[in-house]
Amino acid sequence: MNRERSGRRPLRLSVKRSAAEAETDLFRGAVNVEPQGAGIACLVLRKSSGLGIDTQEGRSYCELTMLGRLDLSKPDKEKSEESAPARAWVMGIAGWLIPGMGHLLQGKWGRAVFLGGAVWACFILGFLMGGNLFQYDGSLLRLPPMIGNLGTGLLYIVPWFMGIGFLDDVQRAALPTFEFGWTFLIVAGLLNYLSMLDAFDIAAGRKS
Amino acid sequence: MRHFLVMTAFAGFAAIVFGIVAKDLNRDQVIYGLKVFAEFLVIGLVLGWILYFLPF
Repeated sequence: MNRERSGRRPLRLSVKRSAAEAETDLFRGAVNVEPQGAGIACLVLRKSSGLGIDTQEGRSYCELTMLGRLDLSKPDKEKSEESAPARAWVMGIAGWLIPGMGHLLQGKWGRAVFLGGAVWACFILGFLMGGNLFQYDGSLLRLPPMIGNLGTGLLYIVPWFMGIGFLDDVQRAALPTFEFGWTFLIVAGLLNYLSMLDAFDIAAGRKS
Repeated sequence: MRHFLVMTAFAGFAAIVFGIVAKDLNRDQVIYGLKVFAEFLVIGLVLGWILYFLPF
């Protein structure tokens, strides 16, 4: 029996082996770790003292030194990061398609109003200022702003189907706020990407 | 003045989203949002003055 430390928590190792098995330096075998739930599933130990025999209990014992450990039982948080539930994907997609919807469906009214409101307001202001949406037309320079625009989900897809807001109208381009406009439209999409990820994380249990 | 208003609106939208997404507690969200908002405005004004003096 030996006491080892794991961080600040003392561990008591209860070893059950025969005398013959304990002759080897390296210890490999079943070890009961106390307190339970310490999170250690596999230990590599080295015998650091001679073999002794507990005459009362009829068991052999020796001092063991911990060389390494492998933590196989991960906390719940790490488990949730490995596999997000399908609900999280649904919330994420809903939040992308309609800004604020991902939080609304989860009952996060405050977040839905502020996050969705910010994205909607940014998008509408961008249009009112004369901004235009971008679409890929073979020019690589139009791809990054298009990815930004695409973040607004249906706010981008619907005008795309209807053919609204994409043409570089000379009169619109002449507006003093034209540059602000398309910048706001891109920023609205980028902000909605953040909002979408927030809705995903909440549904996956990574955030409260 | 129009530029400043547009910059303020932009900073406001970004600050709202950054504040809510980055922090969990309401108090922390407000403080961080105000901080981001102020940083956007101050950095925007500083950059504006720096660019004003550049000859190109």
